[in-house]
Amino acid sequence: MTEDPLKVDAAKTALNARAKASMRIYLKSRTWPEKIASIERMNEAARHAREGMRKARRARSEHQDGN
Amino acid sequence: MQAALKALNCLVNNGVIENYAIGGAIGASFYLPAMQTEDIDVFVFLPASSGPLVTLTPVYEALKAQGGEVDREHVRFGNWPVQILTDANALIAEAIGEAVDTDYDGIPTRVFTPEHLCAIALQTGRAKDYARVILFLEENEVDVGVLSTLAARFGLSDRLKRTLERTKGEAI
Repeated sequence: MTEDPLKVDAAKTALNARAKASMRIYLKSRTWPEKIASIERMNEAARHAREGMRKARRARSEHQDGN
Repeated sequence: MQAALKALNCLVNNGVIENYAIGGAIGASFYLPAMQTEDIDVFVFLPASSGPLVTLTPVYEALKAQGGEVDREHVRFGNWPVQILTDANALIAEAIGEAVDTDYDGIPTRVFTPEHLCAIALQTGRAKDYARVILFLEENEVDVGVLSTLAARFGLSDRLKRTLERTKGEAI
């Protein structure tokens, strides 16, 4: 029998809600300069992330071509 | 960010979590230009032996041992806040299972596929989540056929249809 695709685990959903609430409190507590610095970090991180994904896709494609 | 990813990989190696994948805005940033937030959404599979009581305490303790600073119910590594989320529904569980291997500045990690990122955004359904799906569509970073199949399986077809109509409307 396959698992119900719409099944929700109430206990885990509650855990997730608490984690999200905790994060919201932290993010709202930051000052404006901290938020600006955070955007700069995010832009830099996205550069690394996209480069990593490009490399991974190239490697997967080369692996497929080799098979 | 590197410290957080190294710590998460260590948790997998030590069996504290079965596996993990990055979702949310950081997950999307592996495919799209940066968005505004920098909190790392990490979705984890807890080991099967975790028992009936679901708790993230062992995960927080293990991240703390790896240098993380636990604050209420999230963890920070330097300037990077990490929120640990569980496989609360079947879509998230599938997204973790089918996440792709990639690397961040030389550190191996796992990220949701674009289609799962979009399906979870549709399921979450806030304005910023729809905006993320629209960006994926505009940047051609998502396979619409695969996303449509996912949406149909998880009861999200109406939301996807409305989002697709909106992108067509904006293109005119």
